[in-house]
Amino acid sequence: MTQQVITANRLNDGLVVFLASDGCWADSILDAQVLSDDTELDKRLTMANAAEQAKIIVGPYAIEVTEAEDGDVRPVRFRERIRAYGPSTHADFARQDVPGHLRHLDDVSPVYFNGVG
Amino acid sequence: MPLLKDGKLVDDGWLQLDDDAVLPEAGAVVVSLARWQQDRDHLIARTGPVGVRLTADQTPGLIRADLDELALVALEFPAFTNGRAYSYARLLHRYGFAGEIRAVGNVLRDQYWNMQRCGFNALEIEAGETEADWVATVTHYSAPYQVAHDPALPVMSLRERRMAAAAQG
Amino acid sequence: MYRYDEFDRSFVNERVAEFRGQVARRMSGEMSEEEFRPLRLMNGLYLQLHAYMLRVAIPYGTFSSVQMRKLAHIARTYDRGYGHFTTRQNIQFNWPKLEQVPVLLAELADVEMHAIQTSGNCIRNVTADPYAGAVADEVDDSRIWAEIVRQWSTLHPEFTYLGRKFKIAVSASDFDRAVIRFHDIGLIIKRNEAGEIGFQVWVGGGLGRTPMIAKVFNEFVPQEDLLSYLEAVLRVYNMYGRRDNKYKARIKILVHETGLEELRAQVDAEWQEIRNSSLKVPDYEIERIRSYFAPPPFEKLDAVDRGFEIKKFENPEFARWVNGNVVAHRQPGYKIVNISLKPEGLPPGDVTADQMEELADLAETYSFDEIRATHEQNLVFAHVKQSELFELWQELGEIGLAMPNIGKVTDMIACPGLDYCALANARAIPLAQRISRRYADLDKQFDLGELKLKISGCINACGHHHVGHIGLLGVDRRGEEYYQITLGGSGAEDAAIGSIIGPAFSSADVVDAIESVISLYVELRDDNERFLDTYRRVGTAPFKSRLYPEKLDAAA
Ligand code: SF4
Repeated sequence: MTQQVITANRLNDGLVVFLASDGCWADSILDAQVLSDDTELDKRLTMANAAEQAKIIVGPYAIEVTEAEDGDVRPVRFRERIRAYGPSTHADFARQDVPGHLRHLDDVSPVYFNGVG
Repeated sequence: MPLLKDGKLVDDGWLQLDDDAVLPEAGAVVVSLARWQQDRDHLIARTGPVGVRLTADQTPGLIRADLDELALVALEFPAFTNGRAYSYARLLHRYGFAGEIRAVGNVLRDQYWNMQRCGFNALEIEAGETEADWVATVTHYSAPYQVAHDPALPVMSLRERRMAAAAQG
Repeated sequence: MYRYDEFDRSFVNERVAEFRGQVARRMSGEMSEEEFRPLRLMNGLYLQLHAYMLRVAIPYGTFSSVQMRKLAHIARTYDRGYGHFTTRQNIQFNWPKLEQVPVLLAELADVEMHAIQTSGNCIRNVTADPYAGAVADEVDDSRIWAEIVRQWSTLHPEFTYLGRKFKIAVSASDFDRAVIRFHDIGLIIKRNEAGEIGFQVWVGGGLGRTPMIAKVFNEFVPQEDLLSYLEAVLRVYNMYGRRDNKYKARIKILVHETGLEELRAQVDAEWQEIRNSSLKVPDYEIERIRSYFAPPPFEKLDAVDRGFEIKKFENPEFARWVNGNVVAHRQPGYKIVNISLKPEGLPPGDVTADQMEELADLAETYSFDEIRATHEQNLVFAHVKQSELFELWQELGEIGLAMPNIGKVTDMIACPGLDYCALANARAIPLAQRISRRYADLDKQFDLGELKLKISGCINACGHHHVGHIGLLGVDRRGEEYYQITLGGSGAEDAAIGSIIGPAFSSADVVDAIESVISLYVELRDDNERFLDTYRRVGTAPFKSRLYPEKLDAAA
């Protein structure tokens, strides 16, 4: 099986979250639990569905990722990279809580509204 | 299924008859359009009122000529997001139908006001909800913006009244 | 400007209260996401890629400085300091929290704003000509009628769960500044020989997967019959519009599948039944609403202002801005000013909270406290004294909003695309940013003249790519961003749907491809010929062979 992580949006603020190994929903993909085993993935998806029932998150699903040696987790699909790192349009508005935002969107130079950067 | 009629939870005196079920001698029955068309004479001849249930694809034009024979028309919401039956209810009123217009299917309280305003007077609802839950949803607004079937005066008429009152001084 | 009376005010407050209850039921788990979704959409609330997104209505595009300041406050308090003007006279906030939305809506209600019916399968926020009440060529002020339609359509009990969204626009001129022909219903105000007001009704236009130009259903619906006619169209659509396939559910498909004559006959039959009902719009209500749109207290001025002429002569940059962004007003001595929200390299339609506040002050000083939003994601100050244009231009320059590019290649429409939108295939804004930088040279832009470039991140076509002179559609090729080019569309009175020119280009190649198209136009154009006219004259062939030379070789 390919490497996967489970993602969703949090119910109360809508932000993108990832299922971490302690069962919490983390803001950063770097804290996501990387799964590479089908039975484990199913188990975690069941957990995610329970979290949806428990009004914590909305619409959980698994996405494919690659994990580098240094632990850097990167979604394979472009759409999921945008979800993980924030909008690529102006750096002011990308996710401040994700340290590496914009780092994989190489063809876009970030634009700063206030002329800084 | 609990029945909310004119805002009150009441016992449902109507039997929903499957197409292949035996027709009881008496009592109120609701049948599908297909059964109505097939058994029409028989259904009229027996004692007890008859209702027809229309799906969202069946317009009331199909039973317009029969409305004098019917005491109830049930309009189906296959999903609450399918709003065809709102128009059907209005057409039934325009055709002069004075019997019960019942909402069946995926009937939720957040749409109660719409149903009431379009002329539904009975709704089959989920068990477990109280009369008060339902009634609360139709008291959100003091006045609607447009005329519909219900007698509520729209904002436009209220403005006119206020202006007339002001003019009288 | 329209002001709420006690009825409007209580209605909007009641709407907020109702939604507060629905949010509470969602948060407590009493309501599932499936049940909540249509309810939140009808209050303008989406769940997008990164967060919730709230779309706030700017009814018929007109709003005040007080309202703009409130939008700034909302951007700062509930969002990340900016808002995004859309193509339908709405503003979107990209980061509100669900739990805060009821409070946010209550704040909007304080300034007579709301998010009612900015989404969902209902009658959407009614749009109008952004030059209404200012331009000489209008028959009547389209906002009066848009307001009448707004009231009728608000929480319409019968038409709230339609098969699909339903968009209505109103215009009053031969020049179409409201994309009338691509709405589910487009209304063009006309005057008959007796001088009475009525509506030419266009039905069945739309973009999306199956773009169609609307058809004229009725040449003249008298003003008092407007609502009964609309109700007849909506009732026929609600009953017979398809519900089996969301891509075939718009009224344009019903028109197409039923046939124009047949559907028109059905609408007419329904209309005759209800025409003389209480749907007649009473004169007192028309006059009441009309009084809100009375002209502001203009000064009596000469048509020519010497100071203004001198400034233009002395300052070529100012002259260029006037030439590009300023248009004639019907009142002597006044002008209509377009404010471009397409500064070089920035996301089209985005405005920061600081800019909003500055704009609010400027509107107060220079334009009778009134702002308009356009479908091209720009703003308009509708009534500016020409003697004050220079000061206004300088002040706009200080907040980075004096770009003179209205109608030029960098005045692009771009939808939010994959940076925000959950449905997207590809990004739209960064592509707009790259094109904007490529054509940063203003001399070049002015040389190219009117060129409407429109970008959508997917086939839903929120970026109106079908009606761009050049349209770009984002497609997904094995997880990579590609863009298909269409040429020859127009959303104006010369409405046309663009033709796809050939296979899509990769993100890396697409800006060069656009440049090839534009340079070919420069080679082929006659004097002063717009891109669109050149394209219409020469057809697709030259553009095809320029963009895909290898195909030609293969054929030879
Ligand atoms: S066109 Fe597609 S990507 Fe763009 S905003 Fe609309 S749905 Fe989203």
